[in-house]
Amino acid sequence: MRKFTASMAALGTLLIAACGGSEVQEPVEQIIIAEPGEAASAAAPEQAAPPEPEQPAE
Amino acid sequence: MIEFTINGQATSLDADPNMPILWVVREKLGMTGTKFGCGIAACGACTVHLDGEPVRSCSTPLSAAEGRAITTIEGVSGEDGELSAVQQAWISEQVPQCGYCQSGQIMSATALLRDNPAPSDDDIDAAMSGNICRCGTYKRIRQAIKVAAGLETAQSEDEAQESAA
Amino acid sequence: MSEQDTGTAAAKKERSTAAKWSRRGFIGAGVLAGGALLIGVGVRPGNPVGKLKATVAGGAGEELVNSWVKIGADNIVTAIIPHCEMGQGAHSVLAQMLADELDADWAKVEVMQAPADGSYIVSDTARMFVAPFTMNAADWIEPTWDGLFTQIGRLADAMITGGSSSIRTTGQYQMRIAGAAARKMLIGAAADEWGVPASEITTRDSTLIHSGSGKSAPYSDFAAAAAEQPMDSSPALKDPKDYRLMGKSKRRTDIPAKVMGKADFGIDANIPGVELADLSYAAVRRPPVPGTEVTSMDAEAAKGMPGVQQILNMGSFIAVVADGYWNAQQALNTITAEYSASESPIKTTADQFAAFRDAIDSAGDDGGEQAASKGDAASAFADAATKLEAEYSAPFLAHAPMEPVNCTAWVRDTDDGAKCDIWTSTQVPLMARSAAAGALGMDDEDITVHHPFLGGAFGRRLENDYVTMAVRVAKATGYPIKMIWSREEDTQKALYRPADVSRFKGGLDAGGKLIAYNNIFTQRHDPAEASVPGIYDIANTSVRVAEAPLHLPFSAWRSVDHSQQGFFIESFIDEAAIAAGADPLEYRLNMLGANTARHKGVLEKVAEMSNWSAPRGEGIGLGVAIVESFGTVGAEVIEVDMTSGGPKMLNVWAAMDAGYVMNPDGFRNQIEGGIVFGLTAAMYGEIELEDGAVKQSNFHDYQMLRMDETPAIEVAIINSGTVPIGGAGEPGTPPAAPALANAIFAASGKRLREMPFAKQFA
Ligand code: FES
Ligand code: FES
Repeated sequence: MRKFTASMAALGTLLIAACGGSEVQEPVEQIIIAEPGEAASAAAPEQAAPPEPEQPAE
Repeated sequence: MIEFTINGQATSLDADPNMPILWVVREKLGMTGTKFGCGIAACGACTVHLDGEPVRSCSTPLSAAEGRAITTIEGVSGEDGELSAVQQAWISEQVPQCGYCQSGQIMSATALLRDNPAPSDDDIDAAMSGNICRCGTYKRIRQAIKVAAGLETAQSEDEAQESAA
Repeated sequence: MSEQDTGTAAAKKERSTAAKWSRRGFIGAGVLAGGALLIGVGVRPGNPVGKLKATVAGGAGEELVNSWVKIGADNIVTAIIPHCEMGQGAHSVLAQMLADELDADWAKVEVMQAPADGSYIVSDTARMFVAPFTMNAADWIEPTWDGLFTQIGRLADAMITGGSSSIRTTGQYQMRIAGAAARKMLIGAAADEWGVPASEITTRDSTLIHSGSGKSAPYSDFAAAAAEQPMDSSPALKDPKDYRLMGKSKRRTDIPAKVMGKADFGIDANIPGVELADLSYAAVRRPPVPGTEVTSMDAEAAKGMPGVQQILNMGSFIAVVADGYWNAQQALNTITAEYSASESPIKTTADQFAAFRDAIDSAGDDGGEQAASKGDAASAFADAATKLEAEYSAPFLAHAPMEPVNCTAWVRDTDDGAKCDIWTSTQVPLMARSAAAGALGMDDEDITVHHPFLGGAFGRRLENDYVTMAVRVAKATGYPIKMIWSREEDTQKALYRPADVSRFKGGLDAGGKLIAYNNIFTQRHDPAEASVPGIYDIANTSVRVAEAPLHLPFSAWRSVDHSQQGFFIESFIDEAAIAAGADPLEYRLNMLGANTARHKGVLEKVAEMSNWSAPRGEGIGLGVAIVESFGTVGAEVIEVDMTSGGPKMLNVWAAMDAGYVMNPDGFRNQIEGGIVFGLTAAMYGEIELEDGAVKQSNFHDYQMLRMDETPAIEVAIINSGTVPIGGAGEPGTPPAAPALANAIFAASGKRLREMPFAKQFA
């Protein structure tokens, strides 16, 4: 059981590390220059087609 | 306006001539088969052909394409969608792992085989060492190039089966 | 295969194992039963499958038979795979395992990535790592462990791909059972309809057959009825002799798209409904020294750069949002900033290694935490006929997956409240969701994670630092952004395989036998047994860990602690063999302890493959190493040519025993890749510190092995039949560096105790 507890602690650490802090942080400074689309310099053709489902190769 | 052809299609684009071809292709033309790996011509993930020659598109400005032909991974298959010999060999030898480097690998290999239909190991080293594969599929890339060149036979689907030891 | 087969002893053994898997595995009386999580089948209110059906089986005529199997009107069977595909082939192999038990027609099997939903947690993976000893728990305790692990899995967002675990846990304990259970349900439905006993119905290639009446029907005819059938919690699993797909080198389903440039990785994310020209891109820069903040920035020049939309000082990083990644990065490059002072006393690589050595020195002869102990290693050393002392070291390493870190995020207000969508390459989609929820102050339910293929990961994408950054920027802008890290950012501001120093004192008796083994090092993360030379019979062993500060944040890196410990331990064993005047491979064979039949097997196999005892020319040498990791025992021999001064690697032979290999060609590809990964680290891998920051920045100074330096590689598979089976993704890596160091010694007499090697010959 001791081993189990120790491992649980390890998992906890992993999770905390993986999830990072949980406080909501606003920008310290935000400089707005343009909106999306305004600055776009090239017209776009269509988007790439969605991927086909994976299938076994012939 | 910069005019060029991409995978056989005439295109003209009002874009920054200094922008690397990589980002034009991916973000302006929406063709994402060409990959970003390093941005400094050190990995080969972004390899495309410019008038048939392999170039690192991350370090080649759009202006270099003026009046020329760009070929990307999307343009490697035949008109009818039939895979090229290189692509087929990549499947028979089951080359890709994550696959992220493989567009660039296939572009480099395609150029090699066009100029040198029967490359030696040294020729393969020389042509392919600019392309990094972090997953480490080099052995299979080498084999697939030889298969595509007809120097070795393709692995059939169940060939690598192992009997229990 | 019929349900009732009388069977051989082997079949009985397999069945009893199967029964054991099922208990923790799959379906249980309409409740969330162990292991397989939501199990369930019937599509009815209150059953989570109902909710899932909309997500994973929305197409016309599609039926979700259970959470892992979808059958379409066209009789296409879709295997729903809870693990990510990062090049390891798990999508295909897990589908193979499911399809085999289901007797599906492989040509009509498709693979679908399970959505990031709590129903697809991988509880057996969590369990194998948290408490591996419970995997074979006594029967009476099963229900308890089971329930516990499902709960833990849910809490932990355990939709994890890592630890070489997909096949050996999810495959064995979930996908096979899911396939067998679905098959049984299809048979049950057909039996009801045809009015014949279920035992008379056989299956083949996605077809139900009743030979007595001559009736047959495709699975699709009964998919809907099957979903209403009772659920068997212990379906019989196939005997190995009946495998049709398992154990075969089926071609991977993800490869065709990857050779056509059509495979979508995180970096290729398209946002439905957002025009390509309207998508914005973010380039980011974190402070160069870990743990510091941006105190001020000067963005004057950047404001006037082409395409720039916003410039953000987020405190922990700076972001430039523009109409394209290149414009964003160009603008970011012009921004100068001040950063807070670091509290870490470590500024340079030398400082870091001094900290390791200080910790080891102050632990003295018996300080630190005891990781393993047997006999009396101190007095055995004092009395030894021959004494050996050696210190080894390994540097920090970056993962450097080929696809640089990136994440696309869209945080928006809807009639239904705030919602967030994330597109990213991740090994942990549910943890990514929790991380985003924390950073946004939103509920998990309002966040959807889309996770396409990963362009490599190697542990890097177990972390969510980048997800948090992207959602914070997206929240600030209010419109979708695709954040892409430059390779420089990826190399310098990541999390790292820790550096370490490991010291050994060993004693040999008069016959050359290693009888005292004292070892101390500072980094122990995972798995716990990596530092223990457990495969060898050494009478007196003491392994200790001294605690030392680490300047760069830790992250798991392919094979985790085995990546350093394999080098330390197997180099030291080699030194002992040399001191004993013995052949290094024979010496290892003679030293193997209890329960090492597999170890003996791989050593003998690799000796045969490499023609170990045949003399090599002057300046050419062979080195061997053996490491057991993630359930797989692997031995590698490397042949190196030192005649031109530096190491030129000629050949690698590897013999791997993973118990039973589900897809031999896929397994080989993983081992080949693992070897190249290990050799890259051995030759070049090094992240150094300067002024508290990472010095290396891109592939020119953080070098990778390339085609021209990669040796010929041959991999042999030994199927010893061991249960549980072992992993494939990581076990190829740990033996590579020590085998190379040992080969260099054999060829040149130069013993390398520090990684990496190439610069020591420059
Ligand atoms: S991205 Fe162009 S060579 Fe690496
Ligand atoms: S296949 Fe992953 S980088 Fe080459």
